[in-house]
Amino acid sequence: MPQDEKFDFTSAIAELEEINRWFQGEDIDIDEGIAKFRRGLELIKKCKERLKKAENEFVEIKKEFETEERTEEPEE
Amino acid sequence: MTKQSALYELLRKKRNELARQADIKPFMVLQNKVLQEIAEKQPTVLEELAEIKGMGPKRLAKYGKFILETINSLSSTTMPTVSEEKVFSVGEFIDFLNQILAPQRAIVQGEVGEVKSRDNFTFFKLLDKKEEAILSCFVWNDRLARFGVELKEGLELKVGGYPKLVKTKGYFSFEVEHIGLVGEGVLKLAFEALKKKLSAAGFFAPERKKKIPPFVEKVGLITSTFADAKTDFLTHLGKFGFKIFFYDVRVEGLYSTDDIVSAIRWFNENMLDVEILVLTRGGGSLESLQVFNSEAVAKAIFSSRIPVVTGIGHENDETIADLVADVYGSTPTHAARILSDPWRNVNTLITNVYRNIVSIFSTNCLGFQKRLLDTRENLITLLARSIKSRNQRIDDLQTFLYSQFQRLLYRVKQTQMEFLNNWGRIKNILFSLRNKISIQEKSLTDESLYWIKFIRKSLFEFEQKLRLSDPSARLKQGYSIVFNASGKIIKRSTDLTLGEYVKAKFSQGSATSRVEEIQQ
Repeated sequence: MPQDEKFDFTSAIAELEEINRWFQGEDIDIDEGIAKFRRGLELIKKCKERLKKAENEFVEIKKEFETEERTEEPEE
Repeated sequence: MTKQSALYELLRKKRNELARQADIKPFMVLQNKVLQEIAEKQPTVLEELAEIKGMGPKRLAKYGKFILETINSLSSTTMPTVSEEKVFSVGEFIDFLNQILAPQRAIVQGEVGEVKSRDNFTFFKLLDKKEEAILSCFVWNDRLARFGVELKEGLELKVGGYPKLVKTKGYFSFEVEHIGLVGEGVLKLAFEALKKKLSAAGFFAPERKKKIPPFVEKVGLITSTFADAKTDFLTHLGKFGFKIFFYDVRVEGLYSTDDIVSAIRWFNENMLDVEILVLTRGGGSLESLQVFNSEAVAKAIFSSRIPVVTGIGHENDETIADLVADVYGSTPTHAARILSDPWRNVNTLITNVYRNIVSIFSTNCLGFQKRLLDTRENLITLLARSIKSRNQRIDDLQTFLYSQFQRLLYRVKQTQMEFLNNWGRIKNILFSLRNKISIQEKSLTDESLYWIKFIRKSLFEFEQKLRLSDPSARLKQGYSIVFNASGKIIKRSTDLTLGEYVKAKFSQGSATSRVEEIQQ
């Protein structure tokens, strides 16, 4: 995930879980391990930053109800 | 109906007319909120009108006069009035009456009497058994279909609508805009019937349910401003940086269906980036929860592209909306927890992942280090072994070469010896050969000497003999030799011819003579 791309928490967590799974596997390649380890720490940092943004935003939708116009006369 | 609400309805109607004429959305003319405030304050002059929020100078200039006129028209009396001298046409008069009747919206409860269905409308009587009163009603069939209520004689109903004079027929009727069932028993039956119908149509099928993202951030909240559900939901949502877009709807009563359907539709049409819609209200009777058991709301939830989470009523309340919803929350609080729990738990998850990868990574690093050391040891051992084995091989090779050399040398010596041995024999052979040659030579020399003596002797004898036979000697003895003219010695007289000249040689000199006579 490049730096300028919008941080997506859901995919970050998914990636973290994937890294976690990877580390639990057998035969870990050292170079790949270092890369994954770094990426994991980076994601953890970003996720924690996102979790610090705690306040909720509240927006009320302004809406219009449109009145139906029906002109036909009922004929019994 | 109060004067305020009558004024509001009138302002709304006129506003909508203006909007239609200008072909713009009603709220672009004036928002309902502004109309409500105008109806409440009922300003009489432009200055007062200007104080109302939402009435900017532009709007004031455009609509100010029209608003004040509308207020005035209603201020003189609550109803439209005309001078006694005014003469209406029939149509004009009915329009005039309907203008007065239309704002009189009301909800009427009664029992269904005779029902007649026509192309576009269904006509029915609403009866009051106690007072023996009858209200003629009609409803557009498309609206009736939306309510999911089957009109049957004897059914207790609540209808919402307004009175109306039917222009072409001249009778009074009630135009029904909404229908609600009354009574637990009926509602339960209706609930079961709708549940069965929607279930058969696949509305509750798990495979049709949309998944909600694990970490929701943008939430569309559909409930009433006044509902406890809203407070409950927001309280239990916690603070995790949610963006909540709140759409105020009625959650009870005949008109709430339209509100909720519009709200779901609005989010789907205007705010698709909202990740989830939360439809919630607090507990209540089956009747008060009726809107959540309506087919219209069920269909709106079913066709929403944004996933819907419900949180309706108490723990045990089951509504059609709950069954159709993509995720069912039993209460407003539960709905909030569904959205917030993942955020609440994610810290633990992140910490666990952190610990896990750090520990695994460091364990692995140690492992690598150990493996590296082991590998080094192994390499050294292997190298040493390899060097040793090479050394051994070189030694072997040296030994081999030496032995080969020794063998070669021995063979050379042997050959030399053999040669030397043979050389004596060859020498002997040569020596005896030389002896033989010299013997031969000697015998040859001896023989040749003999032969020379012999040949000399023979030659001497030959000479002697030859001397004896020399013709000149004979001539000295007196013999002569006769030749013919051609020098041939004549040995017989027959070789002579008469008259031929012959030459007679003597030991000294010769003489020529002529043959005269021949004797044989």
